Amino acid sequence: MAITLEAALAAIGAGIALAGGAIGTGMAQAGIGSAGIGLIAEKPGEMGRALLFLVIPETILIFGFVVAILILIFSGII
Amino acid sequence: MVLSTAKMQKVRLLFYYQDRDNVIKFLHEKGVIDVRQSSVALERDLPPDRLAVLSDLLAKVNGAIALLPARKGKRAIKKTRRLPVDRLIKRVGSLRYIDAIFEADERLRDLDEERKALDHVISIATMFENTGIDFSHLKSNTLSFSAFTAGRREADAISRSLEGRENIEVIKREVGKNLFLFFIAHKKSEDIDEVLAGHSINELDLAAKGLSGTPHDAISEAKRKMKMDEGMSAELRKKLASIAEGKRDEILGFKEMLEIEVERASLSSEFKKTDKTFVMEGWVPAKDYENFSIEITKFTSGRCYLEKIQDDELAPTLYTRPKFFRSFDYLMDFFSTPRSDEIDPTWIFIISFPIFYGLMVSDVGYGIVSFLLATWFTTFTDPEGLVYNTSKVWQIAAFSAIFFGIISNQYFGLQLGGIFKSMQLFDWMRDINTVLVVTLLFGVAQVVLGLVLGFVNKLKRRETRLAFGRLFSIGVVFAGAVAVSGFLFNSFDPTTTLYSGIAALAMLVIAAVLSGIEATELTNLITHPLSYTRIMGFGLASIIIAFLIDSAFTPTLAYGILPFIGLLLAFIALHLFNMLLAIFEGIVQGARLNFVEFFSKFYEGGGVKFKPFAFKKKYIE
Amino acid sequence: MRLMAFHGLKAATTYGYANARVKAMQSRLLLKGTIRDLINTRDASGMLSLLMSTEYKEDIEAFGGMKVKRAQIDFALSKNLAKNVVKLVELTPSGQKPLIRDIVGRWDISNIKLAIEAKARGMRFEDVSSSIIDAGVYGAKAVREFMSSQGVEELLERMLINSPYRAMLSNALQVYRKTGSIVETEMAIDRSYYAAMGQVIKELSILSPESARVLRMDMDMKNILLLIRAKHYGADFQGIAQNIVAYGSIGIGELEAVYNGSKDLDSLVRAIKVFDLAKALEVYKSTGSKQLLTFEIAMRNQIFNKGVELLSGSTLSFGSIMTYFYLKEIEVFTLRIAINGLRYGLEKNEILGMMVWKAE
Repeated sequence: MAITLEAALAAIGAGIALAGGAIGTGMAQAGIGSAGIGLIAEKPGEMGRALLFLVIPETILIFGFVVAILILIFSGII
Repeated sequence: MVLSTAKMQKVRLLFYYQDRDNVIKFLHEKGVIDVRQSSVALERDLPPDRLAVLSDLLAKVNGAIALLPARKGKRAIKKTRRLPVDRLIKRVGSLRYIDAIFEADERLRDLDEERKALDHVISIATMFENTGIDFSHLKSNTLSFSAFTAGRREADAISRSLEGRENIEVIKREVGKNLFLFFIAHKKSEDIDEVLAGHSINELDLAAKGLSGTPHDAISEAKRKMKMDEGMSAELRKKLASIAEGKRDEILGFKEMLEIEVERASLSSEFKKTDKTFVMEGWVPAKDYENFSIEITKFTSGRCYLEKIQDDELAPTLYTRPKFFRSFDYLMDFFSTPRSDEIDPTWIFIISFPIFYGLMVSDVGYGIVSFLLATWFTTFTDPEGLVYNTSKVWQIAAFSAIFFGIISNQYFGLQLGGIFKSMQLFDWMRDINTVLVVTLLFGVAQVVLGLVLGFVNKLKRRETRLAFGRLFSIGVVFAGAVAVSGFLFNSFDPTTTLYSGIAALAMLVIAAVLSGIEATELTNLITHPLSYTRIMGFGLASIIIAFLIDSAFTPTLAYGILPFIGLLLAFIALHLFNMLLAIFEGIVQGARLNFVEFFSKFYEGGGVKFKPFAFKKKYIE
Repeated sequence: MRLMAFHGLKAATTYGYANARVKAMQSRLLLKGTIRDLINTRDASGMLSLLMSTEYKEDIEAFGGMKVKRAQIDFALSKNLAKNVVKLVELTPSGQKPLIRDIVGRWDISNIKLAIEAKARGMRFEDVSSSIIDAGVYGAKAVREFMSSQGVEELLERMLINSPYRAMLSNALQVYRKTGSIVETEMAIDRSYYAAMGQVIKELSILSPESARVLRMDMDMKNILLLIRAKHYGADFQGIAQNIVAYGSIGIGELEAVYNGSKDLDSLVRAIKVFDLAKALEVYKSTGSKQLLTFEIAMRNQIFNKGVELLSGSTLSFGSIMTYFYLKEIEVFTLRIAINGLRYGLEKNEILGMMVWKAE
């Protein structure tokens, strides 16, 4: 199928949005994850709380994902 | 009420000195009161002397239990007869087999150390075989002896450093692949440390116990001792196993009895006293107060005084849900126990979590496997542990996944025809916009519900300003949702969109002013509803991965039997991976949306669970 | 701004794990209330029963078969400390492991000196076992093994084998062979140890300046004790100069000036500004036996308090590891004092005077 320049640029934009969210989440979770592991090593009962703190930054990823989806929707790719 | 925990009543109990032990026993057996330290300004009671003795015995018994070999397989428990405390102390104190356990363990550890040392002696002596060296002759007033091993490169370098040195005697031999033994005899005044410094060597302790006589003698003697030690170790292990076999249930029974008595003896430290009376305070469920009052009066033959008290202490939290939902209560406690004076959102969690999980997994096959896995986990995990309780919740949520799988026609990622298609209500790929909007609406609905509950909680606490801050926040969410959807999706006409936007901003400012320090939470009014779109995100991701797996790896005989097997294995493995990912994210994100986005609007937590002064018996009659 | 953010991220990934673990370990240290109750107990069984509701429960149970309760607590204390120190070294980021090993090595040094002195005096292992701090390479097992040697020389020779302190012990052996004096040998060990500490302080000055400051106070304590002992026995400064350690906050010149400028112990102690020894001086003057130990205890307690004060706010840095180290040391000393108080029948006030409270 023929891909227009606009569609290609939109797809790249969507990719950047997703990648940005993923990188930000990864950076945030690096520190939280290592602290969480340390906490669980000492207090196994805190695993739930540690896991909870670990997943909080995933909001950043979701924002990136939603923006990517919106770009794809508005550009007509989806 | 559905959204609150049990009503509690604080009581004060006054009773006579002579009734102390009986009253404690009665309270322990009844298990209906959560005892707290009395606030009355009297002298604190000291724990009875026997608390120290009981703790000591409990430590001994626990220590002995830890040393017994683990039980293999399940067996019926042989319960031990309950003993009064004085007889219990005497009986446990005189149990010879407990001392025997400690002695056997200590001896086993000593034998283990001895075996390690003998191994070491054998390895050193083996290296010295045929060198002509006799270890017994290595004690001298003028000479020092050193021995070490080194790799080939190090050995060559050391050899070069030692060349030409006087007053030293060096023996060097190869004892292994690229491993050399050095034996150096030198005058005490000669310092060879500077030669050895900086080289990576492993020194050998020539004064080690057992290194005497010729190497051959040392090896034979060490081997003989090792055999003896192994025999003794085997006997000791047999002895421990026999004690474990015959006495495990009895010792566990004594442990339980001691724990009960320690708990009872410790309770005294919560009492205040005068010369002849004791005062104790605690919490009982309000519905049990009347019964409790009648029973304690009857038990003490009227020699007690029970009164209700009202003070500022926070009542403990007691859930009133049916046992079926116990695991949800567990997860709430895991996050943070609700305060007794705030709204208990567990019912909302019970409804919303399975829905979120179901949407994120949204596959009949994955739902069935979820249920089977969850059931399997509950068969071998501790009922008081996190995994067991999460699995119980997971079992319930699995049905939701099956339901959403049916209405989206997803069966292990495949879409089926016929009756299955007729049951389909939506398609993930085709109706993605709709799903996005629906999840957003979930977010708005739950966030608004949270704000409403926050408003009620604040009003209950008479924090009127903050309560109205919550109210205006609700307005921000609604007006903001209208403005955003009008702007992005043209759902509303431009005038409505504009006015909604202005209203949202105005209410945001008012909410910020009313909320004070809590104004920092206001940015969450935008981000938290959006956060619920992750349901769509994870659900879609799982569908797309399943679609790709089906497109590329659906097993077919078209290419032959071997490719078919390969494709089948890949199909199963990849679907398993996708399923586990979907399940894990479903649980974690489903819980997270409740605990973070929803609870942060109203929930304080930090309540104290109702812990009645009671005990569970497993090993005693 | 970007650099700060990056530095913060680096600190979070380097120290996040260690920080979370030490903070969790810290929460299990004994509370002031428990320590107060421990001093008020009448006997070892009472102490034992109190410790059963603390982190020491498992360790006490492991020695449940012992008949002598004081010994049971002693062994439990050692086992607990060994466990926590091993954990501390394990959780330290790999780049700083040598540092923390050097710092916790002070307990090894103390055990080595104890073994040498006990051997020289003909004591048995059982006579000193309760003073051994089982936290490093030279724990109770190793010391028992070495004390089976024929004499101090053989003991040192055996300790040398595969020792992480080889250079120090080798030097000590040479000194012993030359002089035959235990005092000289121990001083040689001290000199080597404090020289190594100097290197540690240099590294710590960059990594955690607060930790370096506290270690410098340790050096100061060593030097001041030397001065006090010398003044007590009327020695001149030149005789002790070679044993002064560098890297303290007071230079050798200043120390000499203070020493020579003080006519007696009283004026020397008052001239020392880095520690507040006024109270210790009063206690020293009031006791008939003129115990110099009071000064050591006072300085030790001030170092602990300062350490906790400077380091307790540390997060995501080497300082948070050092905080735990100091707090654990305080706890170990406190329990040992409480146990020995029971053993020797000391008065409550005497015991309290020797303790430093864990800052909460």
